[in-house]
Amino acid sequence: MNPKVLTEDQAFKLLAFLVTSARLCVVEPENYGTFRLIDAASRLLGFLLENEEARDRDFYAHLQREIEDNKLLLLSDEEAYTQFVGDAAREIARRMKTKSAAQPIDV
Amino acid sequence: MDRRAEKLVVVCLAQWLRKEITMDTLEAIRRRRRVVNFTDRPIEQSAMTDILAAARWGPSAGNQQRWRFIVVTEPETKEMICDVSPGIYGTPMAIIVICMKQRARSSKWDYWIAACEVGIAAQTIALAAFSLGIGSCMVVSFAKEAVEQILDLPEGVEPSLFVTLGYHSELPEPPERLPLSEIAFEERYGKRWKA
Repeated sequence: MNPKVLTEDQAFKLLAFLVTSARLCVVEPENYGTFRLIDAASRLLGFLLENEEARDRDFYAHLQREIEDNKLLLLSDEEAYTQFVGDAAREIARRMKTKSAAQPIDV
Repeated sequence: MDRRAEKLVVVCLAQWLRKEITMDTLEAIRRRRRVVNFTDRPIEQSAMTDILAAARWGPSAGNQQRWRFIVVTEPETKEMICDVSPGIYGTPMAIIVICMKQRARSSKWDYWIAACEVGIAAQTIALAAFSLGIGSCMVVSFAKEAVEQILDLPEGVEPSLFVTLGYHSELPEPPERLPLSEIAFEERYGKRWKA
């Protein structure tokens, strides 16, 4: 059984961030969109880490650190930023595969 | 010493101390940094009044003073403002929302001028705050419509820029700036400024 790892307040905060970011994306420079999304991911990870019941805490902490250390690359080195988000996506996929191998498939 | 004399001494001492702790303008301009790691020390009402009073003395075209300042310190309102402002980082102790008060029939020109004045007011706020030992960060990334709703702004009053404020334990390192020879010219564009 999956533990409940977000409170309604945390989910609402994330909702507010996503909706207001969508509003800003209409007027902000195009590449800010990717920044808002990765920032939202970091906030989500922060909420997950606030909850003792979250199971994959080391992974969440690692990914959040990676995001915080690298998200501002967008402003100084777009190529390095692209590399970083690509690596982050790869890490997520790797984690997905590990998780799916560890869990029985529901039939 | 009677009570009146005592009070006078205290007032003089406070004024002298304030004079001592405020810094030279050029030093404040040079040393101010973007601060997002604030301590939880509240900002005194008197300091906030000084900061707002400084902002009031910024330049204003035709002395129209179309800026309006809303100081948000109440935790619940502050949290709501933070939640609809993806550009706010950290937990500021106060947020000054600088608004433009538009005239009934504002032109694009009016809007542009008012926007410039708001920017200057924000810098004045940041410098005044810094000279009092208070850090700041300017924020433009917020959902205007949501802020209007939260702060009950009347029609024609538009939130334009935030300055988040709070005491800080340390200042970030200064970012690199382009050398003057690259950005300043003598008489004509291209003739580099010689220091």
